[in-house]
Amino acid sequence: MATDPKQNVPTNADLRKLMQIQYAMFDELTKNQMKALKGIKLIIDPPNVEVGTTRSEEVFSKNRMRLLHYLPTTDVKYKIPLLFVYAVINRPYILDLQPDKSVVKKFVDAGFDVYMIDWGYPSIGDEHIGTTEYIEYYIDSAVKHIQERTGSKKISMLGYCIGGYFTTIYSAVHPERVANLMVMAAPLYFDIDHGLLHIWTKDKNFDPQKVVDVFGSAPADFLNGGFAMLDPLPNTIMKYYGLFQGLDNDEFVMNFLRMEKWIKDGIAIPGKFYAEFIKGGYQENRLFNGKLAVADRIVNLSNIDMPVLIIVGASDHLVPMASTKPLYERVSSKVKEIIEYPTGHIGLSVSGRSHKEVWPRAVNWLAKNTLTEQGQAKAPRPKKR
Amino acid sequence: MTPKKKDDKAKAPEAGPAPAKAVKDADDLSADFAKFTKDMYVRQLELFSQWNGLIAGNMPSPEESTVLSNIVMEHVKDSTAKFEEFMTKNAKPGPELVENQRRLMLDFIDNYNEMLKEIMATSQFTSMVGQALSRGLENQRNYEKARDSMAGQLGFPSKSDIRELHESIHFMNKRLDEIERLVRKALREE
Repeated sequence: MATDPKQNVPTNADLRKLMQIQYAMFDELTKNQMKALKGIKLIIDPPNVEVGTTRSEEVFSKNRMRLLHYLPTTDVKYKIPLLFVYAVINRPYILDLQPDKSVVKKFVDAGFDVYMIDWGYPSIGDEHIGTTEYIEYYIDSAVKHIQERTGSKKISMLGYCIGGYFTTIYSAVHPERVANLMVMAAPLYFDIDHGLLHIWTKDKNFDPQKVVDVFGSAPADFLNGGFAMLDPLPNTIMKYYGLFQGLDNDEFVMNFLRMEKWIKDGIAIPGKFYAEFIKGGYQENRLFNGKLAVADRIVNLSNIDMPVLIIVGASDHLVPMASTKPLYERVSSKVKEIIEYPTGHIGLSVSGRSHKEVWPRAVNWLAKNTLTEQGQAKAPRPKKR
Repeated sequence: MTPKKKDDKAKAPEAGPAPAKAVKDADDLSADFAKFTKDMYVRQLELFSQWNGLIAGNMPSPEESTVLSNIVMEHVKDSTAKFEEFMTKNAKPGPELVENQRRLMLDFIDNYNEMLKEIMATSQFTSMVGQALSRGLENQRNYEKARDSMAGQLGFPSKSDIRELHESIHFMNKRLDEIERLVRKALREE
């Protein structure tokens, strides 16, 4: 602050500035007090948040796995059904978090016949489930059920995160049943040296089997703790600072609560699959090395010949895009495309910008390729000479 | 120029010793901030090393310590530069001071977060966490074994018994599915 150099006493102008600062600080203090009151009310009486609001019905189940069918909101324009396969971490309603940010609703509204696999909450009875079980028993049962129900010989698949790992393997093992493959932020290629999960799990001291031997599965809290460490301050202290800043905005608060509900709604990964995925994936990169076996058959990525769409987030901390994009080079599909968007792992499914810029593109891509596939299915077979 | 007020003039001393500094100047504050940041980051590093020593039973080698210290010093430098920028450009009195202070705090937190991420990406950190986890799991395993043994003695099924039972049920369910599928196929063919 400037003072009279001879007296070291503030001038009137200095005092005016001082008052301005005090006013700004008082204003800030008052605003913060009001926000604090709202925050306290939020803790005492939290509002009920609804998630997964797109109407659906359970049409099939196998143990804990449920197959949901979304009720059409318009005439079904495409005969080839679309199956969402979500990860075995957290719950699938992240793809249908709220009506204006619902990936599921985007496809339903566009006239697709949409199904979703919900893995449920695994317990001690599911600890023996491994990759083969997921592919050949659960996903295959769901696919066959959809085929029987709709009469369609092929279905389209959209896999998110580990769900993308599953759909990629399924498409390589049963290409005759898959019309179009969409993978979104899927961990497929593991021979990369960045991304904290890749660094941590490669350490020789980390043995996933030890986790399984003790817990039988990888507990949700254990997994969530690791995910929070990937970006420690934003995932812990700073998100609450952000909430405090946005307490005046009711829509922001509701979005925050929906996300929190999803984050806290973690599920354990069945032990057998967890050990197979960490060892065979992160530590040995078996899928790309041609060493991953499902039901004693080696998974060959070049069997994937249907149209493929790869969707990645450029700032994905959980699954760096370098872990998904190499699929583009390994499939033998003639129609293949990558959508790379500047967002994170979860942002791909819930950010407002993704819903404006990514999903309309994905819906158009699937519409175009579904019509092409339907056209090919209808076309008369060439006569044998 | 505004004319000096009478009061101001009347209070002006004729002569005397230079007044003591009422507030620290920007350079002093920047130096204090750098010291504070360095202390905080270095303490974090010391804590990490001690934790490592306690859990993993080994202290960082001189080379590893250098790697970690370099990460810390790089971030101390960044934080200090931001603080100096704040002191010279944004710390001016006015209503925007509150917003500028908030931005400085966010920059500082961001920098700290990046430092933690870089440390967590070092082989020293991953090795330490891997060893700590391994030891923790071994202890837990021993506890589980003792509990299962006690459950067995009391005539209760152990966790592994329950797992086996579930696996058998699952296997039977699969067989049943297969039989159902074959029956449906046979009926269709008839």
